[in-house]
Amino acid sequence: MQSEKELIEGCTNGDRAAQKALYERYCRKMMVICQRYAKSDQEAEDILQEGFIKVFMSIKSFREEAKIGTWITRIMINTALNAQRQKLYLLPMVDVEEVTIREEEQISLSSFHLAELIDIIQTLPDGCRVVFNLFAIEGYSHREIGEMVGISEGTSKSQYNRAKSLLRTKIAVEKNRYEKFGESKI
Amino acid sequence: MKNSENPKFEESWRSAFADAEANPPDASWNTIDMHLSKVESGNMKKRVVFYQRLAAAAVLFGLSLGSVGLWYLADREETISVNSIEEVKPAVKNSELKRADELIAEKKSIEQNKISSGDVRSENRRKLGSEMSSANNTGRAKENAINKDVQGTTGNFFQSALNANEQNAAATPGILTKEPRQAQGHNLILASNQLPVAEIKLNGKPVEEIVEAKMLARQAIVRENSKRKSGEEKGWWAAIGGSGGNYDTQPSVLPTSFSASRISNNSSFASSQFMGQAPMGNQVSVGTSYSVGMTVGKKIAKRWVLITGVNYLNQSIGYQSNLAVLDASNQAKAFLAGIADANSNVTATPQYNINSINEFVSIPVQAGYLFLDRKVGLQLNAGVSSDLFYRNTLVDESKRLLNYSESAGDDSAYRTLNWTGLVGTELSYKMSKHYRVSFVPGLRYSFNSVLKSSNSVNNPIVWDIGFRFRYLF
Repeated sequence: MQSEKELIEGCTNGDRAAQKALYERYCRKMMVICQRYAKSDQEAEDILQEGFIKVFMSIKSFREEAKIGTWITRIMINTALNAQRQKLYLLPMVDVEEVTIREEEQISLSSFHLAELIDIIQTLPDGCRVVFNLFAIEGYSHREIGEMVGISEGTSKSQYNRAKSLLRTKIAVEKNRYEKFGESKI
Repeated sequence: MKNSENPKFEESWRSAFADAEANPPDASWNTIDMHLSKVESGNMKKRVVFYQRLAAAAVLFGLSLGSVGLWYLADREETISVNSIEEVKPAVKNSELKRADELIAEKKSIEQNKISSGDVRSENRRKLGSEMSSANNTGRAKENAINKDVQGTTGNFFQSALNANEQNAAATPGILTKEPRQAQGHNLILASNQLPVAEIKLNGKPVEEIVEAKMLARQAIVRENSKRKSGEEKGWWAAIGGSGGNYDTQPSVLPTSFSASRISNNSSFASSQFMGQAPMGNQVSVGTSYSVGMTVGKKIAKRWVLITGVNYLNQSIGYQSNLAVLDASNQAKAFLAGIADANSNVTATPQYNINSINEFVSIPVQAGYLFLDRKVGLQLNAGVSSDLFYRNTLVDESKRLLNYSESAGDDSAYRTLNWTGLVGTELSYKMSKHYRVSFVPGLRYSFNSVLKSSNSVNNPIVWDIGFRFRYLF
């Protein structure tokens, strides 16, 4: 098994075997990221392919100061944002009405399969989904999200709150269904 | 109401996706592999195009250098030739002409002297008359003495002139002679209008004849030079003409990176049953090519000609398409993925035939070698042409859709400058002194694809037959 350094060198030299090895090492993790940002699995697959092409095309610019996994993740997120940006341009995010969040209400996702969680996220509107992913999972601040997506910090916050509200509702519905019928979606 | 960012909420989601993995479809890597191959072949093609352009530039440079060299040599050859003519062409030699010049000067001098001698004779006659009148009854002896005196005066004068000519003749032996016996007689009886130079001959010819020959020779040289000069001008010709032939693209199915996801359904023109269909680009007819323009040529050496000109070039080819593009006023225009480029408003349509027409302004530079340069001429031409892309027009053959045009420019999908190799023969017939017609079967091979983003080999080949109507200057 080749080390990451050897893989990177191979990819830099255009070695197709090294490229395939790097792809196989990271494709599953990246597929989940793409699924979170995409509206469908088909769209996620497109983002994954485009992202890996960008990785191989620009791997010469990779500096080993960061981990290759982190660098690839960043490229995937940027590719996903670019794909969403066109939609967001046509349907720009706007501030939404404030929603009530019950603080005491805890959320447990342990009973959900990964595919179910992805399905739930994919039902979110485009703007909410992007902000939710960037804030809740990637850990960016609303100010950073505003700069990345081209919206105001307030819009990012309101979109996130809306996403949270929608997700809670969805999860509650799924839980109820599971408790009632004892079956999972998958 | 309070907006909340419950850390537990985010933590729950973050931990749920912390080490999450999902298998992508197996075909994903194949798609990536294919794209990478295209990119690599594109890079390779860029390198090939660079070397092709380098080769074309080298050919052009070589042709230019060769043309200049041939021109220089031809000019030098003509100079040498004209000098040779000046040396051998006249019936008399330059030394003779020089001598004739001297004789002309001498003749003038003699004429001056003649005037002087006429004055002397007049003076003598006046004196004689005076003496005869004063001595009314003079004897025969006295008259003889007077005549002898007059004869002696004139005879001495002409003797000195002849002596001078004899000295000149001695200086140029074999060239200048005189009528010796008459001149040596010292008993010339000259009429008042007679000149002794009339009797001076150059190689057996009278001086006037030599002078006339000299003038004729000089005129001949001038005529020869003039003829040479007009011969140079005659090397120029201009022609109008055209050509037509078939136009073959490679491959017959257009390569396209146009994604089906770009096809929208926001048009009344589109039908939902066509949504999601793959963009078509199948060639359905043989392409045609024609050109019209003017050409100028110059014969730069005995068997070499240089040809250039300006032509309008039109290349059209038929495809099948199932796409249309909507303009700002929501009118549908013919569209073909892989040929045209539109950023938005592409919509699906039923299948229809589309004609793609490329228009260029072509500037060829060719060198021709004359195998036969008589009334019937045969020459082989080869060179390069810089084709300046002017416009592509997509025409729906059923006329349901409007035409879609794309011009050259930075934003255009088309290259502005395209290089084409030219090879052909030219069979000509000289109709009259100034007119010649010719048939020009030839081949045009594009060194590059007219599309900037063409991912596969797409170098059209045109076989055509041209016609030229030349005017020879």
